[in-house]
Amino acid sequence: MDNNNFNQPNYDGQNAYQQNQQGQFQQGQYQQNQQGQYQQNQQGQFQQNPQYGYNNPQGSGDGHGLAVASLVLGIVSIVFWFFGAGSIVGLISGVIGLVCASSAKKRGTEGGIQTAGFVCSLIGVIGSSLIFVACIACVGALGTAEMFTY
Amino acid sequence: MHIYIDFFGLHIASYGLMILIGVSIANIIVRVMAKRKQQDFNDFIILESYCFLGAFLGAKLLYILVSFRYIDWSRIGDLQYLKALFSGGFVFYGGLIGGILTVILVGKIYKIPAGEYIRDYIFLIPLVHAFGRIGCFMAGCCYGIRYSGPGAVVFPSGCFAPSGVKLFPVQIVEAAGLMAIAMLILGLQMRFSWKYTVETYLFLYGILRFILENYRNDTARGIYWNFSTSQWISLGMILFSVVCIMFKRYQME
Repeated sequence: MDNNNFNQPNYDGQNAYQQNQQGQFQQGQYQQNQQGQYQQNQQGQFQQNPQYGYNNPQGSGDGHGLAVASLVLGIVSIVFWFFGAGSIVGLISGVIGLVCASSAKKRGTEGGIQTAGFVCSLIGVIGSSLIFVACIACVGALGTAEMFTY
Repeated sequence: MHIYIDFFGLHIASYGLMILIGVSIANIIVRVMAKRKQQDFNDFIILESYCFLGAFLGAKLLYILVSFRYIDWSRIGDLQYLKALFSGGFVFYGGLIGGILTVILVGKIYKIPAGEYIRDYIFLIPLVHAFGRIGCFMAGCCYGIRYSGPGAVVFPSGCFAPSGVKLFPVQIVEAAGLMAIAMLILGLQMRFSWKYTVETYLFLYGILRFILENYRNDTARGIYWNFSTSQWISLGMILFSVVCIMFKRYQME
């Protein structure tokens, strides 16, 4: 049995948790082969490829697509800072980018693109908010201000 | 009182900045609490993001509704006028209703327990709102009635408020009230596992807003049968919260 931190005991079908040689309880669904890659259990359903930092039990397209979408939307939201009234578009795209990034993470896609998408979208939302939002709960400067003179 | 803050050459809207600070603090609090409750912070981000869009839409729609008579509809095709219409003028109650309805809808679509998140984190709404009111004070908008007593404020020229006139500091008073509501709800939750967090917020804020509307001078929102639009909504919220509490207690029994 290997002595690294990812050592997993064999799944025996009776007791999912076994105690390894170091005296720590671990989950016995995955076992590590000689190449250091995690392989699927007896049912043959899940596989992790640490080379890409990618772990998506549902398939490779779902979460990755959302991560890319979040990055694109984040960049779009930053670009729209410079469009004046168009910063509302930046605000909306940034918010949707955050949703995509969080959804990607929920689907198990973590790493560079997902993080970059989240950060870009967050920056886009922050910048667009500062540029665009003047005052909530005000009647605003639409010619109503003159009604409030004393 | 500054509508804009100059920061290394950047012209930043003070209201937006205060909201940003409030939302940042709220997210940090949620991050800590969600970890303890073993909730998924990604679910919160999804709900929060859609809530923001829903609140934006709701606040804008209610503003257009109450300011219908004052909008120059002949200029609606003018891009600059349209931009001003979208940039300024939101009503909080519209945002609150729009935001909560959107969160409930999104929860059903994404299969997230939205009710649980709303109950656990409703205290953040008055917290962020308090920061927003401080932003209103800095911008000089949502100002109060003429008042010469203790705490009266005089806004300089350049703000939305009339300059050189002593006014009631309604923004600061409301910010203090909102912060107190937020702390009370959080305290009740942590100390007594309080189940009626949403109802408590609606009830207390309804009372606060109903009273403070008498000290605000924004009649452009509309006055109907001696009460402003916000006062009517406040009464509705108070009634709704009482009915909800009674219904829940009836169900428990």
